[in-house]
Amino acid sequence: MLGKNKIRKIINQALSFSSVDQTEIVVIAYSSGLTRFAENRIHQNMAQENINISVRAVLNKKIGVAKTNKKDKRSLKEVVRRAEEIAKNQKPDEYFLTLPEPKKTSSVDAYREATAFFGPLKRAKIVNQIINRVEKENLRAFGALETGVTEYAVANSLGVFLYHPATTAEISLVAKDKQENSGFGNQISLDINELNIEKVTQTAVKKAILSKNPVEIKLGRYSVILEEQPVNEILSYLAYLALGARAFHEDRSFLSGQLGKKVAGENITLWDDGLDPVCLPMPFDLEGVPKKKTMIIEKGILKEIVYDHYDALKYGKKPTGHGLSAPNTLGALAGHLHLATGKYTKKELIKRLDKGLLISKLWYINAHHHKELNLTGLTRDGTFLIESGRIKAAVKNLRFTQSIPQALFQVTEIARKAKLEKSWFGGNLVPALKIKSWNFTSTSKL
Amino acid sequence: MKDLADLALDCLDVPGVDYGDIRIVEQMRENIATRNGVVEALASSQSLGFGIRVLYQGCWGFAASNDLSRKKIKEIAQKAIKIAQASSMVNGEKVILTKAPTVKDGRYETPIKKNPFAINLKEKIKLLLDADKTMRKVEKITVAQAFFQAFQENKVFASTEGNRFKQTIITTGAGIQALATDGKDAQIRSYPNSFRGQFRTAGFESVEGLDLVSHAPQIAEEAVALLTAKQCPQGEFDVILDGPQLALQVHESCGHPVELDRVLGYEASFAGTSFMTLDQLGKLKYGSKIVNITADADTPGGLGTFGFDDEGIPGQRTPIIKNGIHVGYLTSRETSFVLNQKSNGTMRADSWLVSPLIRMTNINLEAGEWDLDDLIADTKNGILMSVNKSWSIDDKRINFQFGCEVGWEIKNGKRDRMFKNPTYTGITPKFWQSCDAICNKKYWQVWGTPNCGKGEPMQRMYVGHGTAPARFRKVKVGLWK
Repeated sequence: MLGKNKIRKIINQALSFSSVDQTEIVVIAYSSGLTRFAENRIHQNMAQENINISVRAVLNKKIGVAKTNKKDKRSLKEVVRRAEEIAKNQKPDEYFLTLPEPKKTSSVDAYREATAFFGPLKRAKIVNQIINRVEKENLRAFGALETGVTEYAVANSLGVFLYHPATTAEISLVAKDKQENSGFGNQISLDINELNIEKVTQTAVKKAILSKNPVEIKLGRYSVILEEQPVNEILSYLAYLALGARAFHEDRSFLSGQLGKKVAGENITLWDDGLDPVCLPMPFDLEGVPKKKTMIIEKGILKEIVYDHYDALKYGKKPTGHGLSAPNTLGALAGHLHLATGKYTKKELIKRLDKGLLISKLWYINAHHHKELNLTGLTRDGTFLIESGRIKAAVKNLRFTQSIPQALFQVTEIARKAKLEKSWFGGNLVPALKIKSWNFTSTSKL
Repeated sequence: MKDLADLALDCLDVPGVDYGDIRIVEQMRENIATRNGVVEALASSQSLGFGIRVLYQGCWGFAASNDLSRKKIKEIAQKAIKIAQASSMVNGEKVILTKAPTVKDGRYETPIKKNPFAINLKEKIKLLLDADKTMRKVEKITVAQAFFQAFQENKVFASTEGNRFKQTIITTGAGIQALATDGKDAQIRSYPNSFRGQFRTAGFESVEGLDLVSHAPQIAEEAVALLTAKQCPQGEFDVILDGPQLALQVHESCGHPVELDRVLGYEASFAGTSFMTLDQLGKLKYGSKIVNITADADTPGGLGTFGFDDEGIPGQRTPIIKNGIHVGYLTSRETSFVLNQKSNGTMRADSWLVSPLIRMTNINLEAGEWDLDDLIADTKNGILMSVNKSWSIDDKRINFQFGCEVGWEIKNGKRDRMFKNPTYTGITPKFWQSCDAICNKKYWQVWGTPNCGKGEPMQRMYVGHGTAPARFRKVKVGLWK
């Protein structure tokens, strides 16, 4: 780990080589360790460390970007020169007005020493604990434990300098029996000590045992309870294809032209908050704009979308702190989504379902139509038929093909507790949902 | 670099280390992207670092750093050993590597005519902006985009077994995309492929051969025509897939399930497993008798073409499906032990930062005998689908569902009206068993897939797929919401 002072020195040195109108330096330095296991043994175990230094040079509205992973003086001088040379060869971008000016930015603690320096022996010990527990049930363990620290710094020649160190610890586990029936458990946190390994293991084991003898069901529409991972998958697609300013203004989002209109049921409230200390926070975006809590959908009404600095100025809006590192061809991206919770426990959601399916995990989702947000994907590692409020049987993996805008109007019940799930960057805080009608179009079977 | 590699190998010369290797890798990329007349990305990136892999008493450890000082190389070598020792704390089967051929001073360089990095930036920008402008001349095109990417990787490999090679891979790619909107619908068309175009191990001559500007009007007009085209009907149809779409079909339903690490469960918690289990080798009727699929790291221009994999195994050609029967896997030195075979050279890492995994090379569907016009003439009630728009397949690679950018009805042997949002779905072996016609060599082309994701941390690999249009009988079509 380099620390704020060393990174500031790198940035100041790079900026000192600049000779153009405006210059931005983004530094992302990281070190991480990952232990993967399968069939009750470690099959991949690694550590990596690197630094990415990105320079955006602006000359008469012409923009060039160059990147290096070397921090010595010569490399910094060369990368700045390269960015400026590229800018000279560029065409002016009339929509580009300026890099962000310095703004007051909140700081939020996302660093835990224990996570940053969690070594391979400690990871192996945890993996051993998981495997021993899984083996007791005559199951096999497959998964990964990752810990790491990333230092983000964004600075520019207008005086912006922002630094944020962040740690993450993540466990994912699939337990399987000999017939390949499987269950899934996972957790992510900025603190390794917050990972409840026993609970994650218990969840995966319990689901693997419940997944025995899966039945095939008649295809069609069912009420579903989507647990947190599936809800997060859907929200991630929503963020990617619908919530950003570029898709919105280019008429590529189902939300285009819908500001102030009803786009979901009244029980749906969705906001993005990169400052929430629970959700792997990040106080600024990768252009150096402070993140602001952005209310996207309030009681079903579309209130706001997310903007990066470029599109905000282009469309006469204020940036919301959702920019990515230059060159950004995607536009703004929400990475700390919060879906408002409801009043039921997950057990109650099941108990209150007469007939439907409980979905533990969704896999390989993709959009057949970006604007209409018609998604397809499959269930895996725990799909269950619910009848009269109880799990009646495990179900063979199913494919769904479903309009998400329709589903947003069909959420009937929401769990009272939200869980942190990994987002495009950072974490989304999501509860389980009960949705009245979800379209299952085929079964995964030979 | 040789000194640094020697230093790393010296550090690995300690009791308990069965095997070790070092890769020192430099990567350079140049990206250009235009959007509605603005060059929204013009970027050059460089990355240099090394990764050391160690097998200690049958257990793996890997460590990587961007710092190529002698001090750091010693530190990272020791770290890799410590990580491998930590792996050995967990009981389990020990890794045994199959024998590798001797490669003492291997050399490989992608054959190119024009270095894509040496072409003047202004010339490349002009090419993209010209195509971008041409697309925007068509009314209702609201977003026109053009893309270019050049990539070069210089690699030095050395192992404790004495194998060494140097390899330079150069890839070049470009493409265009038009989005048409009318306030109600949004439709997209790409040329020559989605995923930002066609990518090859080749020089700038590959981009020149695409002739982006000439194809821009047709792509834009088709995107606009899709706005008012009829929705693709639901039902069972004979489907003809064009080359780019078939490439992704091969990728998802054949390339991934024959990765032997998946078959052995290494990816079970993430990328998934495979229905093509070990007991099926030599028996599984994967496809019809005309289906022959080969893994070929030697295909000229293929995005998965190289001289040596990241274990120092020479790139080679391996039958995967022969006359419809599953006959081979993609293997590594570790996994080939299970088959009592030698590795067929498919261990690849997407950078110095990560440990290599089994990855596709060029997974090619061999050409058939049909002329495309004859194939269409021979189809009574079908749909021709072109260029991928969406893709999804289950964790065992059994159940897939794809969407394409455009479909054309085939009625009584003639290509008829356009369909929007065409999709098709199926079960892998049933689908391939329904393949009754593959077009001939005239139509065969190797398509680059520059975004193949696998592993943790996620690695994005360049792979290729040679395909010619092919017909599949009685396919379920039209599920899209």
